[in-house]
Amino acid sequence: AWYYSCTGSLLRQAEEGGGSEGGAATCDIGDGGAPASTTIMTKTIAHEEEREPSKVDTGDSLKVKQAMDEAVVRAVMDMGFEEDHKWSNVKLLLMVVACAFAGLAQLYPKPFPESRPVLAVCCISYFACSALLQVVMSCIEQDVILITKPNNKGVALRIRTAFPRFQEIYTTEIEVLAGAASKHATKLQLELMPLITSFLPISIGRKQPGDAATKDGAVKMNVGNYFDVEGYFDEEGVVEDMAKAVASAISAETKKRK
Amino acid sequence: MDIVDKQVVELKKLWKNKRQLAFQGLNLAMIVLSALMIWKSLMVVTRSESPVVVVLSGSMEPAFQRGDILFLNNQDDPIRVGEVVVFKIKDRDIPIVHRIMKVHEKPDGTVEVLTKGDNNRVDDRGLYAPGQLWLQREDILGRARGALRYVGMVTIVLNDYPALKYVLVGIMGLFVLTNKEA
Repeated sequence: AWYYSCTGSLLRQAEEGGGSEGGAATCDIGDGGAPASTTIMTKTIAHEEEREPSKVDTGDSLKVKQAMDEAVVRAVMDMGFEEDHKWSNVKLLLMVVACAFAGLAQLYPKPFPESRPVLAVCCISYFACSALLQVVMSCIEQDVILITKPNNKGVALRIRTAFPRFQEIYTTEIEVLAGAASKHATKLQLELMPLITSFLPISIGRKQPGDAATKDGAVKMNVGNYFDVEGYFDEEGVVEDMAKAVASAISAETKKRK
Repeated sequence: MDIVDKQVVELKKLWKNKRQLAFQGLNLAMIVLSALMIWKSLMVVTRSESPVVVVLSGSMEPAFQRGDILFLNNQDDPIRVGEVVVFKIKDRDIPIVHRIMKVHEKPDGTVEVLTKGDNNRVDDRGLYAPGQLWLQREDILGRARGALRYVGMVTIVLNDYPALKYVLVGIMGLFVLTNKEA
């Protein structure tokens, strides 16, 4: 059974009306002056308590993004995808090589004046590796949080997320790479308006590849839907919603290719 | 201690995910090694064993105070009277910053020098090794080419209380390991 937990005195009203699924729960904020981010409602799944709800400091944008990222990754992994570790391995290798050069520079047996050429080579190589690492992280990987290997149907995913500081909208971009042609990607648009204002029907639109603005063709979530006032994180909610979004993206892509 | 608890939770999470642990660990190593490599690069560029030193005593006042940081350069230009140099006496650890008083230069270029601190009454023959009257070129680590006032006091404090060093590094290391900001 679902139940809505509202802030303050409306809890009684919710409990009486509980037991039925969904519906138009119009929880009035009451205090008109309070900013939207402080009166937050959550849907809590009473019977599915697989794991302890984790608590996150909602003021810390970075921790919120990390929590959401982990939930998104979990959602995709639960759908049976395997993570592609290519770029992760490249980065790790670069770091090991850089550390090796540094170790050589430090532990080279000859005393200083004779070891100068070796030191010079080590220093240049170290900073070259470090620069390459930066290039990989900022140009190639950017804000991607997950790349998957193709599953048994040949579909692979690339997930990017954006969550600017002090904003409420967490944007996920799901790129579906069917087969080898990564140029044909569909981005699905899903908008979930915060429950406190009104109930808009969930609108699904499809964007054709080649459309410029990535923000429009992405899954936007208001983090207010998944965190309550104390900071308890509704991970299951994120997982469910992301799973739906990913499934739609994949089916849209496969339909298009047919 | 809420902060400590949070860090412990983060560390436990890290331990479960070995790949992430390796990444964060290497990240920490890179930060430390970057500092080391900058030092080594300075050594290569200035040709000096110790390109940055901290003035420990007041023997060069008013030019240099205790706690100043000096940048050294050890190119092969001839040493001249009046230059401030940093030298090490054989078998002693601590480098000394003083001024050149006398230079004896032979036709083939080998030099012998005598130094004195600006604020001392006598020259440094009392500081040299027993029987040594002059410094050779190899003893000199470099010429002072630039200075930062008072910034070196941190090093002096860390040297006087060595435990502080480990505490400081330990705390910084913990925060870098558990902070996932790349």
